[in-house]
Order: sequence, then structure tokens, then C-alpha cells
Amino acid sequence: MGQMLFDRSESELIGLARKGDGAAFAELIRPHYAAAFRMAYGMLHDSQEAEDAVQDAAFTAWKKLGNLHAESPMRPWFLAILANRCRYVSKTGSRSVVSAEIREVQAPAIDIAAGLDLRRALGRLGHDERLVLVLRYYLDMPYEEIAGTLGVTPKAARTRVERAVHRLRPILQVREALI
Amino acid sequence: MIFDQFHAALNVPVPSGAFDRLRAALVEAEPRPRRRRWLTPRLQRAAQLVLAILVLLALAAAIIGTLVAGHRPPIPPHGGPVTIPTRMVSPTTGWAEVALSEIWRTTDAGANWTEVDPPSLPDRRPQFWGPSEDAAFFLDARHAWVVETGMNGPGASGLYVSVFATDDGGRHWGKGQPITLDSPSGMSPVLYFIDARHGWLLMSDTNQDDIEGSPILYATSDGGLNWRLISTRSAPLHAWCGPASIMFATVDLGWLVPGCGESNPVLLVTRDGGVTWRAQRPQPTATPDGVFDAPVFFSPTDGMVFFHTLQLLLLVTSDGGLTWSPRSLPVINPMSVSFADATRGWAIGTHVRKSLPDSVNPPADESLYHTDDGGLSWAVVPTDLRQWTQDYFVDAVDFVDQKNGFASASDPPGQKLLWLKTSDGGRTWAVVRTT
Repeated sequence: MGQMLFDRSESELIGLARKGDGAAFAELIRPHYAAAFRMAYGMLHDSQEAEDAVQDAAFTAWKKLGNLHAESPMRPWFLAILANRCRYVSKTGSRSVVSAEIREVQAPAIDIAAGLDLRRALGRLGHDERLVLVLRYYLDMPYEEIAGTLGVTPKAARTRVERAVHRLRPILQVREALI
Repeated sequence: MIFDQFHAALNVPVPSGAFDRLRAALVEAEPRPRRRRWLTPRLQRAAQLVLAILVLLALAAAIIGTLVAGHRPPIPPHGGPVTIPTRMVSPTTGWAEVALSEIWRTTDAGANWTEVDPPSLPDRRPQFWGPSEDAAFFLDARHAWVVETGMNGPGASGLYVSVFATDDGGRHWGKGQPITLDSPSGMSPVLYFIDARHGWLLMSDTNQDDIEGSPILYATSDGGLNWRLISTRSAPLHAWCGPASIMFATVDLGWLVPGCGESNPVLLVTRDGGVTWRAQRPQPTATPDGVFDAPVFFSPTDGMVFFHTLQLLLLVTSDGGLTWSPRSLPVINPMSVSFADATRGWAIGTHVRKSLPDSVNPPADESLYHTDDGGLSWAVVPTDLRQWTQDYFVDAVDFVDQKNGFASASDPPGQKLLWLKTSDGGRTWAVVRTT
């Protein structure tokens, strides 16, 4: 019997995936799936849309696996493709007809309002600003990894996060003052 | 605190079985796994035919109903996927950069869209190139440009940047001479054109060893076919953290917003077309730190810039940016402000969320405001906008002239989008497109 896929190294899986092995590519994605879903949810605010976006991005990444440079980490490369997919979805309003999970209906009214406020505030930002905030404060990514996803230096990633936080601040301060 | 806020607002577990569904789709090499199949292909075709007939009957009924009863016509059906444009350049024409290599255009105010990106623009970026929302520039109904980044392209070995240009609304594109680059990372190209011939391409040379990075600025005077290097490392380095945005008011006067954080914010200004730059602080002396948007100029002398601090500040100039003066805004932090020229502008406040109890709604200001003196005074516009947006948040207003403007709105979960148009300065609105 052949070696199980989860016993193979990343480079072996990449080799198999490039030859058309979908299961091998799935194993490449597996360790990054949760982070990818959370990033997509942070950008799209809908579980079904997030799952669809991750799936679409996975197929795109599989097609473009040849663009992943040797020794380059998989996660920031895949998240960059996913970010592009989320941007497409949010720009075109290409939404699933399935209703969003309104998980916050059980939460207190103040928490509902605070969550909606933050999502509304995020919605006012440009895609790139929203992305760096989700990566930093929802995925808890270090600046070095954010830099890898965006293709910039860690310092540039940090300054982009600072600028985006500053755009949020007036709205969040109004909300905090009222609670 | 902010980490907690994000986790509280966005925290949702990965749906059960989600990865398994993805894996199944990849193994089957289908875009979506089939969970259950209860319609045979023959029944599917029959169902599609019935659905099409029902849609036609519904449209016919709506049209007849309109003619008989004189009601407001229904929201028209749409074509093309784009709902919210990147930039409207006239009452009818607009552009959208949907993904990093998709350019769409509308000529009916956003009701229908056509994809017009250069056919040869590759749908990829090397990993180490930062995506930029300014990598496309839309000047007017006919002229647009988009940046291509790549490796070992025609006429270029190694990393390169090329600019595609159109002067017929995207029907045809020309490709400029490639610019070969040395640095492998963080280029983040940004484009700006003041007319069909004169433009600038800004990149930030931020290789891994040079944390500060340095600006690289090219200029064109033939619409993007040829580019000449005009500035490297000339911006004050203490103010340089990579570009946030760039704009020019004339071939000589330009502004650059560094991508630095909020500490000691400055604008960089050039009066020689980008060769030399100096830092300027337009904000009042006692203003807390914040971040600038790119200035907007309506003439060589009249312009304005927004400064985001504890509240939104509007600063205007009538001498080409030599001096700046603060102007009032009708609400502390409006949802959106749009100026069609140096004197006529609109702003919209915060709307009440009907889905929330009154006890948790912040003080709401649902008004649409207008100024015709450059922000010296504002007045409420009698408007029917709320008739269309009762369960939506109005995210932005965008006026292209004194009469014609657009508004975008979304529902609280952010699922549904509205795109509306006015042709009487904001008094009456109509929905152009919805999702």
C-alpha cells in the first residue's frame, strides 16, 4: 500500500498536486483551512459565503500552484489568493441565496449592536484596510506573516494596520461613549 | 481591547464538515460537491423552462401594472456581476476594478456592466508584489490605465512593470514599454493621470534589507506608452513608509500621502512634477495625530483634503496648497462626504437601525446635507432617499456634478447591496441595481 498522504512532506504533496492529485492539494490546504475560513468570514460576514470563497480560492490556488516559489510558505500565498476572491465577492455582491447565520440573535442587545457597529465600520473601509485589520486582530497574525500575505515588508504591514485602525477609531469611540 | 472587539464581533466556528466538502470537491475536481441529487437532467431542464416562463410572465405583469396604475416602475433586471463601481466619471459612465485583473465598465449608470480588461493582462501576480487598489486609474469615459506586473515578459527579463492604456473605453488597449526592476519585493504600483497624456507611476522599493524603502517615480507624457524615471530616494525619508496614494493637480504640482502610521502625519508636495518633494502639515497645529486622504483638486488652485483624527476634518485651499483652512462638516463623523467641485458638496449622516431596539441606537442623523460654498455652511436636503433605504445603511454618496450623484447602501449583515441614482441634486432617488 502506498504512503498515506498525511505522511508525505509538503514538497511531495506539492509535486502530487501539480500532477492533478486533488487529495494531495487538499492536504496542503488542511492546516490552513481554519485560518482561511476565519479570514473570509471576517471579510464577508457570512458563513456560507466564506466557505464558498475558500473553496473558490482553493481551486484557483490549485491551478496556480506553479506560481508558488520554492521555499515560500504556503499560508500567506493562499491567503493572498483568498483575499483577492473576497474582494471580488464583496465588489460584485455575488452572494449566496442561503441566509446568513445570525448567531448573535441570542446575545444581549448591546453585544449585537457592538458587533454590528464594528462590522459596519469595517464595511466603510477599503478592501485592503479591512483585510489588514482582519489579519491582525481576528486571525492574530504577526506583522511578519501579514507582510508575507500582502507582499510588503513587516514595517509596511504595521503602518497599514495603524492607518486602518485610525480610520476605525472615530466610529468605535462614538459607540464606546454611548454604552 | 481591540483584539477582543474583533473576536467578539466576528467569532464564528468553522462549519461542521466544511473542510471535508472542500476535499471532496477537489478530489472530484468539481467546483461544488453534489450533496443530494433528486432532479434528473431531464427534470432539471423542464424546471428551468418553467422558471423562465414564470419570469417572463412576472415581467409582463409588472409592465402592464405600471401602464395601468402609473406606479413607480420596478427595479430593472441587471446584467453583468458588478454592483458597486470603483469610479463613476459621468452621470452614466463608470468603471470598476473587480479583481486585480478584471476591469468592468458601465454606460447606463451601473445597471449593466461589460468586462473590458486587456485580453492579454495575465490573471496573476508574483507572490512578493503587494496588491494595490491604485494599480488601475480611470480618468474619464474613454481613458483608463491598468498596471501589469510580471516576470520575464516580452521585451523584459526579470521583474517588470507594464502599463496598459485605452482611449476608447476599453475596446482596445495598448501596452507600454516594460520597466524592468531590480528589487524583488514590495513594489505596490500606484498610478495617477491628470489628462490623456500626462501621468505618474509610483512604486516603493522595499526590499527585505531596506526596511524604510524608498520611492521610485516614473512619469509619462504620451499616455503611458513610454515612461521616464524622474525621482528616486528624493522624498524625505523620515516621512516615507511606502505610498498610500499620489495625485497631481497639474503637470508640476503633486501630492503624495506616505503610508506611515498616525504619528506626525504629513503630506509630501512637489512643485516640479515629482523631481523633488518636501513635507507639509496642512492640519491645524493643535490637531491630534491622524491620517490623510489624498488631496482632491478641482483646478490648479482649488482643492481639499480630508484628515482622519478623532473626528473627520475638512481642509481647503485656494492657492494651490500653499495654505489650508479648516471647514465645517454638518455632523461629527459623517458616513460619506462628496464634492462635485470646489463649492458644491454633499454629506450624509448616520442612519437609525430599525432592526435594533431604540435603547441601543446611537443618536441618529439620517439627513442628507448640501453645501454650495465649499463647506462654510450646510443645509438639509429634502430627500426621499430613506424611502429606498429603510432597512439599509447608506455607505457612500458620490456626486459627479451639481445634479447627478450616486449612493451605495448595504443591509446590516452586509448581504444585500443597493446602488441608487439622483439627477436633481439628491432630492429624489431611484434604485439602479440591487443584489
